[in-house]
Amino acid sequence: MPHATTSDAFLLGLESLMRRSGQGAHLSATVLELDGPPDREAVTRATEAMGWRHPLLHAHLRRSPLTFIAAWTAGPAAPVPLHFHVGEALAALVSRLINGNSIDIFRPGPNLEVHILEVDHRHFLILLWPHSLFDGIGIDKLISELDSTDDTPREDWGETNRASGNPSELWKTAHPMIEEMRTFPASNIRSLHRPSRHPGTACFEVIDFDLDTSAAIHAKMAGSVGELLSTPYFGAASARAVAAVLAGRDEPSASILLSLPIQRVNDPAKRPLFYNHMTAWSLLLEKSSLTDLTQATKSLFRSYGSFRKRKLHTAMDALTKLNERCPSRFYLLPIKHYLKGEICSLFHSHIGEFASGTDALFGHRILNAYHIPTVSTPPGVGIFFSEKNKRLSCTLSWREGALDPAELTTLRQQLLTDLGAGLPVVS
Amino acid sequence: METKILEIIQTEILDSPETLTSETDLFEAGLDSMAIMQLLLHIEDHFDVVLEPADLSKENFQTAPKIVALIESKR
Repeated sequence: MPHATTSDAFLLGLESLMRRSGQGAHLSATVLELDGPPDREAVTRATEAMGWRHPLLHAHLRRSPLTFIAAWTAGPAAPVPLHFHVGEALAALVSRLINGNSIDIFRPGPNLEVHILEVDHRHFLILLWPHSLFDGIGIDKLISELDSTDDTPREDWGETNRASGNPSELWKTAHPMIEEMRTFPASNIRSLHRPSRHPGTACFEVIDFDLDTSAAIHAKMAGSVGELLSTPYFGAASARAVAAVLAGRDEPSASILLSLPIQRVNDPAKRPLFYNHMTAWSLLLEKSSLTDLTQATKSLFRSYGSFRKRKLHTAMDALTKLNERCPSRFYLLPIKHYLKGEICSLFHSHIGEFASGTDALFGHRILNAYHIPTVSTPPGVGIFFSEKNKRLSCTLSWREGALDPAELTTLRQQLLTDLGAGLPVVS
Repeated sequence: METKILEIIQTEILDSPETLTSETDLFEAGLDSMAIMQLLLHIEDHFDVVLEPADLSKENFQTAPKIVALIESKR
């Protein structure tokens, strides 16, 4: 079976951090609301076929005894677990799933679960998956073939090139990222992590904007930074929301380090189904640039441009490759050293159109869809956006202990004020 | 300039196997927010033009000739 990608080493670092500190596994849920109940037999056939089609769905990660590089070990092919639920509240079910231990990437067993929920005449299809095996793009691809009954085994794991280069060359390439990290202490970077509190369960809130509110949010963005800079705009809004909470903690001078996943494969059609194929870009927003959303958006765009021009993404990939032969806990050591225990201020992504090209599943239209990723502490919080059918969704994810209820209100209010949104539907 | 823009989008941003032409709808070809950010950096580097937020509309970036017209208007 193939080795994990270099990005997966980053994810293994997070997984290691979470397991060592009692934060469970790094699981995510994807929720799709359908306009009717999917046929039970059709879903059963599809999940059986999917299990046969993709052997990786029953593989587990192991370190090679020779190279110490992580690789997936095949398990026996089997149907993807399928569960039906009736009457349970959506949020309660998702919370139970992402905080459970039914998927463990280090043990033989399934790496994907499908849950069908019917509640209050609404119909949801929920996927539970480990972040070490999929990124958001991979899940998009998985959804596009979810109702297929093709059971021909396939090997869609993409990047398997293990020509790592020699360590001295990798170190030279990685060195600019180390130099970048050395500048971080001067910026007083903070997250919402509270070292004095024991990390609790993974918590979340989905802010589900209706069509009119979504249109109003986009109109406000177009009026301030143009129609096209949604990545830095929503990133800046997320950064300002975290900064607002920090200001309430007597940390008014804190700067924000945004961890933004950027796909390494430019052509969407070439992006593989399995594994993570992104580089974590660490983009700094100094406190002085966070005064208003327009200014913060421009600063984030400049930070992105600077990161790219200095080829820090290449340096980051080389640094990850150097670390993939080390125990997972080593991966985060450099940045935790320079950030005095922090990793970044928040996790963030805006994946754009969710499952573009897939409008229906099992004969029912997809009304809405979004991801609910768990986050580690540090940083304690993640703010994630996606869109489906021109409706914007925002998932606030945090770790119990990182945010108290009043701070969650501050975070949400700052975000909604910046976006120009009215009262949202919260689930 | 149009040839250069198409080359940048095709080889450095989208890595697309399909040949882009003057008529290609760049958003349909895969130009998303992340790709726009890369394109803006390339425009600054190659043509020494910094675009303002008001310039960043779908209309202005839909095809290569429209991008050329925008850059020319800023020179």
